[in-house]
Amino acid sequence: MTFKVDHVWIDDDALAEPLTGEIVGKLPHARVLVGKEVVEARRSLDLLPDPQARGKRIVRLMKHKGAFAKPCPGTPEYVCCGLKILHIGQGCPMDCRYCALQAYFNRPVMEVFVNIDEMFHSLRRFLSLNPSGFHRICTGEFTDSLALDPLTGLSGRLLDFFAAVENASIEIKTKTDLIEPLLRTECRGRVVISFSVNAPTISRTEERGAAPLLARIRAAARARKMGYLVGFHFDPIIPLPGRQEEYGETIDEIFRLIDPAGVAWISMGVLRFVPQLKEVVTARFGPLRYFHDAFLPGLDGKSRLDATRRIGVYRLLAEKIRRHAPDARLYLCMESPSVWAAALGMPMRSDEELSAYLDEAVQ
Amino acid sequence: MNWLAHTKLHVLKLHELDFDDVTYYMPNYRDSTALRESIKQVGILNRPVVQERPCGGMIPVLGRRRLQEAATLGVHESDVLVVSSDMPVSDGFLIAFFDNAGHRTFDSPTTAVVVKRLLDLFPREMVARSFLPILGVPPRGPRLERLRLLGTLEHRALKWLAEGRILEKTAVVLARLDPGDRAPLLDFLEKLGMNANKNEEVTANLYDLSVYQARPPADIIRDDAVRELTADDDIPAPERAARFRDLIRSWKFPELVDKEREFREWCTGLPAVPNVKVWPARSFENDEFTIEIRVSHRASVERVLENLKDMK
Repeated sequence: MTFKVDHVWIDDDALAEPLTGEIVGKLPHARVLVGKEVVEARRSLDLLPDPQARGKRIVRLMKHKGAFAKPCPGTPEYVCCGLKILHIGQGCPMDCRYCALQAYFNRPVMEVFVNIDEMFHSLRRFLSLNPSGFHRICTGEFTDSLALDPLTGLSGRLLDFFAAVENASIEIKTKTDLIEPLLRTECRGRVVISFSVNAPTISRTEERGAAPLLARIRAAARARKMGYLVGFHFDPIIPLPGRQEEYGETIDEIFRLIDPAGVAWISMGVLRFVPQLKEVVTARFGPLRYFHDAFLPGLDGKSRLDATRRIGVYRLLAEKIRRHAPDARLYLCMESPSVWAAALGMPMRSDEELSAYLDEAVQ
Repeated sequence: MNWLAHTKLHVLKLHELDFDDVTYYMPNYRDSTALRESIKQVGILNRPVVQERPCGGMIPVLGRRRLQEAATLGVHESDVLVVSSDMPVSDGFLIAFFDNAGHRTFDSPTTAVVVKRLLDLFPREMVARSFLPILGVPPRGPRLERLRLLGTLEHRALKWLAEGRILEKTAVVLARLDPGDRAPLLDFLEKLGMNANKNEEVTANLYDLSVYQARPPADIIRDDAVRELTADDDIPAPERAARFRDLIRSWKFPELVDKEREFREWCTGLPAVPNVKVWPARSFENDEFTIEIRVSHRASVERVLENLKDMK
């Protein structure tokens, strides 16, 4: 699978970056805009009825000015996993209808940070300033880790970097099957290639532009064969009546192809969203049934389904997963200790406990 | 072309004017009492402009309200200026737009109707460059689409919005409904007589139920439980509205409503302590509770904390 990029916008201060030239060289048919052309193009884009849809084919090459490595924006109200984000860019060429990023970003194009020397410098500095403890780092929070990798070639460089790092792991998280560059690299260091997965129907209808579910699972199996640890994220779980059982099909398929010992972790998170996402989604796609379910304000202000319902969903999935992999390292994304206990039968009282639990998988 | 420089003076029989025509419609939801009184006292001061339709009859270009109020007052004819039927709709709408925009501050429903019409008549870029700055609307596509959607609403819903009886987000939900569902819902809200926030809650919950259950909102409000509740004239209107809100809420959030009931029952078995309340976690998200102690003096705060300090 490849994603079509027809416009490249280049910030003035990104023109001289080597990666800028490399990316432009790989897009001979794309229209390249600089300077005032970008300002005018941005104005026209903003005027479109759905700038986000159009922005999926526009890459903006820019320098990131802030911190590259930072903690995942969790919330004190729920147990967070202590993940650190390596900020490689934001936005994504896929157009999942439930995507939370639609409500977070006011810039609808895909942004690639081309000052990667600074990124690696910042990463080195982050790790040296925080030498004690272990850091699970992921590139797939504000973008897909691999969707633009054919342009940036970043994943290979990340693997080289993390091969020499003792106190950190890197998680490459994706909804694509673009793992070829990773398979060409010898598996060294603490690397987890993880895949967002869902029920087959949800995946087919809602995850627009993503690799088919089976292709993702097969990619995971290939990565595993090459010695990589793999991970799976059932997030967001969308518990539509009659669809919950379909998650079992996905689970069966995963363990039909992959040995449980090679799975670093499996996360689960029932759909939750900032309230404004519902309006953005409805305006873009029309009313989607699952957004009109009984969502309540959670402790962090996000809309969530009733805790008892979430527990039921987690139990169902956990039971199916444990049938294949009794020792699977399951975790819940942003849930309360009481939900952890009721859903997974595990005490999980703090961020530190959850961090330690997940660190074990890659240390 | 300056069409207004080429008009003909005409005495218009008001019944010949098609007031329902919205070609050059610039809504105005303000109260018309002052205008009506003015017409009563001194007649129509500025001559309205009308356009002759190629197929016959006249449509208003400028001064629709003046003519409408005059007709309401029993005036049969008025001096008007007739603009050529060759004048394109876009030119006529520009005249109407600038006639209003120069001296009026548009409220959100008026802005919505005007933006919708501008987008129908002119290229998007031109609307952004020439009109949005005057309207004070940011040149953002999704905002324009929202206004365009609102602009499809009927006069009644837009008037409610102008009067603050519904919020803009409620109007957006109403605009997403089929007109056949909207009318009974508006009738129903009218009957319940709730404020804008309660109208918002009820409309949002009804819409969610409607989408989730694939059932038209009009069908939901025709449910036996609703009819039974709203048909009981012995119940005062505010009480009826409150019960309806509770009913819809219990349909939308059955688990939450069960937990609230169970919590209230549990609280009745707790020792009653004056000025102390117990609260569950928001939406019963976890097993935590908050005990609220209300005191009226600093000294009481100190005393209560002293008593609590060894509590585990």
